[in-house]
Amino acid sequence: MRYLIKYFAVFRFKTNKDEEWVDSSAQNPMELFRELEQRYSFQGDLSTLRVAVNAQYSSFDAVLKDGDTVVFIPPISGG
Amino acid sequence: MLNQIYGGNFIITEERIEKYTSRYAQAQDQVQTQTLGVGGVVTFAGIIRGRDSDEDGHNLLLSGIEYQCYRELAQREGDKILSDAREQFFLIDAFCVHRVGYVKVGEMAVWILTLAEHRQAAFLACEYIIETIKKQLPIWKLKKKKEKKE
Repeated sequence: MRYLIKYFAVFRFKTNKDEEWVDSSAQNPMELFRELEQRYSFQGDLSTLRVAVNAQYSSFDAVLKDGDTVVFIPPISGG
Repeated sequence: MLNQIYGGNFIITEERIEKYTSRYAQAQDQVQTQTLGVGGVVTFAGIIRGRDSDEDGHNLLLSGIEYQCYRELAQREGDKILSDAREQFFLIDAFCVHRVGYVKVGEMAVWILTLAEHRQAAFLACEYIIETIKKQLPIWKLKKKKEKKE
């Protein structure tokens, strides 16, 4: 399946990309994160991350569909 | 009512926030005539400090902060925060504007306006909105250090 991954904060810094389409066998955000973690040497505690699928907060075990947009959200600091 | 003045209740912008605060000042009479029930108006302005500290607690002098934002989700969450606040605190209306991009020291990064029948609801809702923004809005800060002059 193909997913559109958008990168922000530390992930943008690590990948040097705003977004990319990724071909993946991952079925859920957790598996997808593990793949990207290996590819880009992401570091950090998964328990501090959140995930959004198609611009809505989601869970790491949600079932992904072909074409979904996935964003891994490191600790936020607005305001 | 506020969405008629601003074109929305929650705005994300690269522009300076003063234009939103002055627009409310100009429209204040109109707001109060339209809603005779408004008895309490509270505003909160979050300003970029020139002094801060790094992760190790060392003092930093800043020139500003670069705000990065996942806009689609931030808009959705911002709208929801204001809608929840209106319902929870029986507000007459609420508005919030958040800057993104580079914001200089001394400029506003966020501004919140709550209108309620009584002051307590307006105060509580304003605090609820800023605290929830800090937990829910996908926005990240990158502190920019002030260049040292030789």
